[in-house]
Amino acid sequence: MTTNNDMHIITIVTRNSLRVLQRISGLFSRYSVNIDQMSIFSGQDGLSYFSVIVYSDDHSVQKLTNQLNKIVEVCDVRIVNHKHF
Amino acid sequence: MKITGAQAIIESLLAEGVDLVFGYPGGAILPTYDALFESKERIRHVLVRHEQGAAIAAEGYAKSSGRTGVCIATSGPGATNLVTGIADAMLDSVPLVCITGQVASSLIGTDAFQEADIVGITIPITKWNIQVSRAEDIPNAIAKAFYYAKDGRPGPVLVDITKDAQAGMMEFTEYAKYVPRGKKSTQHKHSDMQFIEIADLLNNAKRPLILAGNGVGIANAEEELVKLAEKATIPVACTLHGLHSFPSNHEYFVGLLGMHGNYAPNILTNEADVILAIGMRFDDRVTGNLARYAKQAKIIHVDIDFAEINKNVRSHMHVQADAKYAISHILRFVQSNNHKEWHHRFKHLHDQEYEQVIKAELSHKGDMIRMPQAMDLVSRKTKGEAIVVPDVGQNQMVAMRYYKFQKPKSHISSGGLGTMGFALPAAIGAKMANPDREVICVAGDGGIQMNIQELGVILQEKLPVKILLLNNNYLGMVRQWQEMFYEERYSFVDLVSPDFVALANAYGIKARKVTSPDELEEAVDEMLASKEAYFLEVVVEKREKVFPMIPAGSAVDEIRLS
Ligand SMILES: Cc1ncc(C[n+]2csc(CCOP(=O)(O)OP(=O)(O)O)c2C)c(N)n1
Repeated sequence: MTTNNDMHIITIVTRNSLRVLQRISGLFSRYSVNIDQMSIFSGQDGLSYFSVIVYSDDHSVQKLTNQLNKIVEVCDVRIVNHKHF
Repeated sequence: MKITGAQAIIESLLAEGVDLVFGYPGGAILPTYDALFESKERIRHVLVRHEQGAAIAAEGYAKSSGRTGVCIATSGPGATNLVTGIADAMLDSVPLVCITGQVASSLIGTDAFQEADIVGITIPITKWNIQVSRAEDIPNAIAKAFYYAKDGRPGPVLVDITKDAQAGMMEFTEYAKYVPRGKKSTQHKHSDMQFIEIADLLNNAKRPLILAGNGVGIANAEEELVKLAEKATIPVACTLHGLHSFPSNHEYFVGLLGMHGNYAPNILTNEADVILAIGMRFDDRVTGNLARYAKQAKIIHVDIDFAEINKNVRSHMHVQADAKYAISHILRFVQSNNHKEWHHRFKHLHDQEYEQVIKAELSHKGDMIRMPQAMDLVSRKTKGEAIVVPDVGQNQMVAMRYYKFQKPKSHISSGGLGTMGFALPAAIGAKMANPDREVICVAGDGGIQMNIQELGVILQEKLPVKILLLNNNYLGMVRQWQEMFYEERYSFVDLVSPDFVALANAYGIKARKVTSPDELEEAVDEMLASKEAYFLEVVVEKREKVFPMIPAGSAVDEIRLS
């Protein structure tokens, strides 16, 4: 299944809310995308900025981000593939 | 004006146009029940017998009316009892607002009596949920709940409200419906160019096929779909939830897709050159083996949920939009066409299925009744105009195969989750939303007993729901799989049931049991003529199997007639 496990950095911007981390991390585990590193920064603007590093194939990461985008509190999701560095 | 949080819940519901809720009281929701008592004249509350019944009744109400269903439960076990219904609504895109009581905010996290983290529990099965612990936050939370239940692809939301928030006082001014700021759009802007390209594909297709799903009915796009099919002479096949969105007596209707669907549309999915999939999500029960699904076809996928695009099946073109919008725009550019030979292929395969399966079932003469004979009778006697609410299993497959739906919002079924016990409470919800339509609950002897307690609602509310029990004395669908794939090792599918007629009578419901084919018609007539609730138990052939069937793991064109 996960043949080409490339590094992807997923950046997520959400409105700050108590349960949003649980909703986000639940999707990662449901789609079997293992989190390698994650950092969260809460801005003064009421927004939270997530940066998540995963090793997974493009298709799984794409499916996951499509679902992340549906979370009501999520304002933006981007995938940065290591190839683009 | 100062009011309590509980009163604010009621005012908010009223402001959202709610006049009916399904629920069950308990400690942590007592303040809200006190407020409901005061507002009895304005909001009808239906007391279910189990919270699962409340969630599913609210689904039946929502699916059959297009409005948002509302259910209320207490904390802890009340809330966890809603879970199956919420998961069902999530998979079938049903707009549902669940309001749960929660222990007082000072007790949260202390393992207090009847404390359950229902917000945590329901995260994966809700579109959105929230816990509210201050009275003044209630109206806004409820406004958001109603907004998100319906926004884009509908689904369930949950608002968990602590007891102190319900009891607390707040200043209630005017209720403001939720309008999101900087909204993520669920509907992208589309250019005419995109629809012209889609129409081009359809115009040049030799063997085009439309697959209609749940999204057609949710968007009320039934008329547009008929227009599109007629203008471009394209055959229309439906998914389980698409079934009531295209009249089954229409000459372009080619039947039901999927595991127990019709022969022709399954086989010809793998011959079509262009497939227009509208508001459907290529569920595994529809596609069978994905590696051999419609590989030859150019697929155009219309869905409001972007996450469905390329999820299971790669599309050549897609439109992220609701079905009504997309179909009306495609309609502008399609040309009339002639696909006589292609339509003839469907007819030819249908005739084969008719001879080998349908006619064989319906004309069978034996001493036992067969499920299809009962459903066919009900279909003809109601002219396909009733609301039919099947349960799960063989009865469900037979109901949708043999009931000839003519009207939208008439096939209320648990498709995604396949929840046994769905039919009875969902039929109750559907009847409340449609008091003037005939509502028929169809169930097996297994499923009826999963929420049988809801007969109490029929008794208390005097609801003229008709119940057709197709009793094969088995967990029939599981038995079928054990016969076909587990060497007839019938592991725990044999059930001893109570006297259903006596049981229904105990709830004050008229009931009758038929065993002989000669009595069937007269009994169905009696059931349909009844002005009150009626429970008809039809004892059917014990060891029937539902065909056609695509065995799990097989391709759609490997569908078997026997
Ligand atoms: C809640 C739940 N439990 C188990 C199942 C698995 N299941 C699917 S069909 C079926 C048998 C249903 O038997 P019955 O209600 O008698 O209907 P029949 O198939 O005989 O028409 C079972 C157990 C299910 N779908 N839902």
